[in-house]
Amino acid sequence: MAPLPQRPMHEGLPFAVEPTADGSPRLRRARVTQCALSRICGVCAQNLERPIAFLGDAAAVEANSFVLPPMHVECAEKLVVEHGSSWEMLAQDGPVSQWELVTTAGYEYTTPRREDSDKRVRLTPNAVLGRVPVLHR
Amino acid sequence: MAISDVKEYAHLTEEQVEAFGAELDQIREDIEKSRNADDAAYIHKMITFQRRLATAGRITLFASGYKAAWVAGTAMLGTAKILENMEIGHNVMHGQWDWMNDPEIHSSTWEWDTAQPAEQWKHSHNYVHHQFTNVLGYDNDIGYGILRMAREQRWNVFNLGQPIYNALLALLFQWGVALHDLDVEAIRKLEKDPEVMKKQLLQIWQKGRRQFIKDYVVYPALSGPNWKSTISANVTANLMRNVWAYAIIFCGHFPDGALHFTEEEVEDETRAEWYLRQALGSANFEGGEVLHIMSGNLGYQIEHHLFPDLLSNRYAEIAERVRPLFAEYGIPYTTGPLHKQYGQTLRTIMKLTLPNKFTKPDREYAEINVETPEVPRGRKKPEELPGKRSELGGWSSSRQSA
Repeated sequence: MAPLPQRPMHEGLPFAVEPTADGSPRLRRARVTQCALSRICGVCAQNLERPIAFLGDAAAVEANSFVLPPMHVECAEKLVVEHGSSWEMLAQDGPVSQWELVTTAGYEYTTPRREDSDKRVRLTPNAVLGRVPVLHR
Repeated sequence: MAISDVKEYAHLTEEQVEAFGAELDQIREDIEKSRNADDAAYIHKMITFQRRLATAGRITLFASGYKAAWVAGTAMLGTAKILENMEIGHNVMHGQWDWMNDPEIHSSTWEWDTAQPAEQWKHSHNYVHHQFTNVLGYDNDIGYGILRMAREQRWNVFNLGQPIYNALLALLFQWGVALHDLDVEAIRKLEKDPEVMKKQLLQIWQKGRRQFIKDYVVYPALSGPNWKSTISANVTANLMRNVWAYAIIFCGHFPDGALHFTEEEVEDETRAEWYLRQALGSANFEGGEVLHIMSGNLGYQIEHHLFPDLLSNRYAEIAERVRPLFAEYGIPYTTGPLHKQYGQTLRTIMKLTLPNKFTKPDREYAEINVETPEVPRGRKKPEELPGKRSELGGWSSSRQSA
């Protein structure tokens, strides 16, 4: 849980994704935390702008609880195009065809409790401005 | 010693810690659900008042050649700067007011009246300080890289100058904060990412130049023949803000009851354990409503660290629920008058000027006879850390289904 680098270190990968020990890239929980608290984009690591974008499948949208970090709208669209097929890398439970893009003015950040089997941190939009299936954009 | 197991220190079982966390979760949920138009009106009124005060101060200083105008204008401007930095800027940049969907009062757009660029503050404060609060080797707010604030920090001859560095830090606080996210220690060791450093230096230069031109060129020029006295008034207003902000911030984590932690404590920390560390690492101070507003409600530092993104105007209400909860679980709730909290902080600064063998610890846990290894100055690099940590690991859908 060390303070992390402040720019994307792995070319072609979103800021919040890093190669694991076996070389396969995965969403890194500590990076999601860094993005959420520093209020930077999980793709480009630059200062967030309003509205803030979240990507998730229908279940995440219904629960209003996301595991991908906050993003710029443009970066979220880029993520879908460039990495939408790598949904497991992005810690999603389903393919991009099930995703929606939610825009919000703000969000809450929560970490898992001891009893939670899912240890991903959660981002909860608190001022939702819009939602749209990503394939319709 | 620094605390490496807060549960053990607080004499709480794992179940008790989780129950304590659940109670805090409930408080958080209640406040989130009850955010309303009155809260929005509070921040709008605060910003309007602050801007009118700053404007009145600036206009009064056009006549700064008269002593009464100099005193009144300086007082108004200094107070406005304090309000802007403490109650408005700090809290807006935490995202406390993002829920209003106001394009101006938003964490992504707010730029405050001080030399540090907002983007760097959000990294060094919102992320590094609030995530690694009082963890030695991680939280650079422990002495801001120039003061030795914990006995576990290795002493060197440089520390003999602490009383002087402390005075300079207080007087020049906005410039110290401006350099805070640069991580000067990493630059000295040639370990800083050059691209990040270049970007940060450019941001600091641009922001610092803007601040300097505003306070020491434009407004003095508008004062015409009174330009010299307007410069001295603006210097004084900035000094007022610097010393006040320094005192409030140092009182948040360095009075005797606030603890330091080792990196072992943050490893695999649950949400409830994180709450407990924030509770034990922070200190409040007591005072009236005006004092709390002038300090950005950081007199409720414990509540702020438990809930950094909840509304500052609700911290007093939150404290009414948090303090009995601490009593119920036997967790120390560190508080006292501002002068006492600062006095203890200053005593620590003076004592740690000397090597440990010449002084005795003042903190409560000093009675526990445990040797804690000293830690070197500077932040730790990711590669210096133990490799196996779930916090650092990737999540996979297969893990969830397992």
